[in-house]
Amino acid sequence: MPNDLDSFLFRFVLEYLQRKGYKGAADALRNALASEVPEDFHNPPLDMDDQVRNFLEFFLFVREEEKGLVEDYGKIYRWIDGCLEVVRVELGQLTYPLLVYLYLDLIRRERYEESQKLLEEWAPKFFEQSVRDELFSLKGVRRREQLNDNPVSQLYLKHRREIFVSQYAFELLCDFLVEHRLTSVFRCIMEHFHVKMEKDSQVIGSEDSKSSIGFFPYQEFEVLQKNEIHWRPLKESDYIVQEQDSQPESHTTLEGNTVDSNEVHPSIPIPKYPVGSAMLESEDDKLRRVSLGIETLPSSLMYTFSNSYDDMNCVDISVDGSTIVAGFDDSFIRFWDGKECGQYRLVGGKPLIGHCGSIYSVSLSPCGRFFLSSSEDGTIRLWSTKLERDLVVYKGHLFPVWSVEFSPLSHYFVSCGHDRLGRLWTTDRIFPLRLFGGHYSDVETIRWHPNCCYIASGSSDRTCRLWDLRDGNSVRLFGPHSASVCSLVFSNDGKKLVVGLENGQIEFWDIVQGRRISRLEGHNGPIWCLDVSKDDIFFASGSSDCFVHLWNVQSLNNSLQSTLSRDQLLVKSFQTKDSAVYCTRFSRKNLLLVAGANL
Amino acid sequence: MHNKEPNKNTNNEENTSQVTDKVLPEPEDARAIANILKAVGVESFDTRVVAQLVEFVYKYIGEVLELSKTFAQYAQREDIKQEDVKLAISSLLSKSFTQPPSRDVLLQLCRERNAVPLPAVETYVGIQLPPKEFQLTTRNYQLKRKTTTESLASQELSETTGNTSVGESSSQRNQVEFSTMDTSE
Repeated sequence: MPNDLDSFLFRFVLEYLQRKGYKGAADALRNALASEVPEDFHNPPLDMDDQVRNFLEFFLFVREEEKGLVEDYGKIYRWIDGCLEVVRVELGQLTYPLLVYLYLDLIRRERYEESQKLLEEWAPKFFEQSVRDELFSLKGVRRREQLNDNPVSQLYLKHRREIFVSQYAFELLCDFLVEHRLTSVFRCIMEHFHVKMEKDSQVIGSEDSKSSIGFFPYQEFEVLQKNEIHWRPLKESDYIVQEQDSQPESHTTLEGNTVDSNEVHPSIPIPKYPVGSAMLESEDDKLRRVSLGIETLPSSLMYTFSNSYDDMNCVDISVDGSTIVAGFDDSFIRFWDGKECGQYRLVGGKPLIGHCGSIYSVSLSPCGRFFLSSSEDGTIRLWSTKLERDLVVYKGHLFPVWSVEFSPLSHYFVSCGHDRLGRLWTTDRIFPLRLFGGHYSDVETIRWHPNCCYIASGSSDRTCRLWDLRDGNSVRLFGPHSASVCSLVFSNDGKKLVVGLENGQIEFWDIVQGRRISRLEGHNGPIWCLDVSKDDIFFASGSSDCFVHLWNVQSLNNSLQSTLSRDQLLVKSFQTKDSAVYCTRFSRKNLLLVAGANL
Repeated sequence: MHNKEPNKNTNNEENTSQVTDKVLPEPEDARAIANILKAVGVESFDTRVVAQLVEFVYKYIGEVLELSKTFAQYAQREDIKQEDVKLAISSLLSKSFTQPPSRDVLLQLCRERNAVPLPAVETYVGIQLPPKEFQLTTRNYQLKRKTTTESLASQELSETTGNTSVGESSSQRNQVEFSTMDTSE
């Protein structure tokens, strides 16, 4: 009998090693115990400890059951589909990640044919949703050694997936799994998921759970919700040199934001400008600003670039509408200077040469005399429109820089790129002052908050983050979205963030509370540009589907629904003649300026 | 657009002159690359893309095999084994396929950089530029000054020859030397 036990244990250990993939150790053991290991065995001997016996029985049971993982997944999928509505919505969070984890487990166990079969049969079900890119990336993982290299597999394996379900739904699931003996699926869930049970099933709204089934760091989201955001506008005395400036008041209160009445002190050192400076809004701008309303829609003007659809990547229009800068694929930048806005034909267009790769973003300074360009070669250049040449090169990103923006008070600018970082620079230093790291994928777009204390960045990991400039930490996480983020804009009061996605949806977030206000099916194509009018009444969105839509922000505040239909918000819709819209900008006088390239 | 059947040509010019042209079948490598592109999810692509990828694949595999041959020779073996190839691939990884640093490294960098407080700002007009040596508009040449022996020698020369044009001596005096100044280009 000791012999039986020993041989049983040897067999057990051998199987364990083989299962975990330790081929070398398994071979060594087999060679060492050549004669004593039986070929196979069914029942553990009877004189073992009860607990150990149960464990071994379970192990054997599991070993036999693992053959049909593909059918098992099919059973679960069909069962969840057939459940009650409420339960289906909750357990629906499970189906896609379960597919990914089962696939990765099969690859890890080197059962390659099964893994491919699993993906071929079940992946197409998820193609319409936002995770198509993830699935294609996973398809490329064919061998165990590639698991470490693939970013998607690393993301899933390193982080446990969080699911929020009610107790009732979870019990239903467990019962189903036990009844149909889907032990491998059960084990997978226990190993890779973090099931958070809520008492009532209405905690996760049905809208939220449909938004994205890909990866999202829920834990970080919870932590960041607790941060306080100082969203109010800056005190004018902080950035405008007042006439009576004799008292030695501290220009920069770096100790913290003292929220006194309606204004906030800046958290970072900002420059002060004299009253008539070109960087600030002039009195003329404020007087002549058209007050908009439902009856008085903004006049709009569109500049169309012909013969440049293949080439042109980005356009920026200055806030007074006089200068337009465009960046191209052949690494040229052209700018046009209209002496006053509303000119029908622009002169100029001389190519500025400096970068060695396509230009992905341009940003004009508030005074309109300088602009920044960011390019595929990883550098950012500061150009002067008067001298018509570049002045400084800022090197820091070693990878393509997708977006750059001047601060509304000039002096600072932020950039973001393929290296998953956002960087804060000043024009007089060639190295970045702050690094904003935290996104899981490239950062596509980055924008300043009107009070220059925060920065929002949107990334292709389908989230947006709000960053505090003083210490570079992420203070809010907005997500999950249903597609990667293409464009962002803050409302002028600093409370709301409008996010434009690659699938044409627009999402509204309340920054202060950190929750989604609503979602809107805006366009039929990626939303390249967004801008809000200066009095926060309208906002305009432009996309590659050749439309510019004008939406009413105020009715957004009044509605309580989470998904809005177009008609509720749409005020006016401008159709361009076959031109994809690259830039929409409300000038300081509330004139809507649009630029696009003719297809 | 991509040619699906090897013997069908979609070029309009060739259609008209069928007598003179002979249509060559598509090479296997090109077809393999096209299949890979479709498997990854790329639905439509130019034929030039396939050609570029084929060239890239040849070049990369050539480099890998050459390096693995060196490794095999170092191990005093005649033929290349899988370990040589694996080693060659991992050594070329940092050279050709650079990726952004991993998340932990990035977060560490961020922490270090963000600990430095932001510098103060003075009031100014316009835009502040970095120091002259970092601007692109600085002059990237230096003027060379003549030493005393050279000036004496040229004086002697001018005396003996008798007539020196003003232009010559001045050009000798102001020799412009293009030294390699470290600009940020």
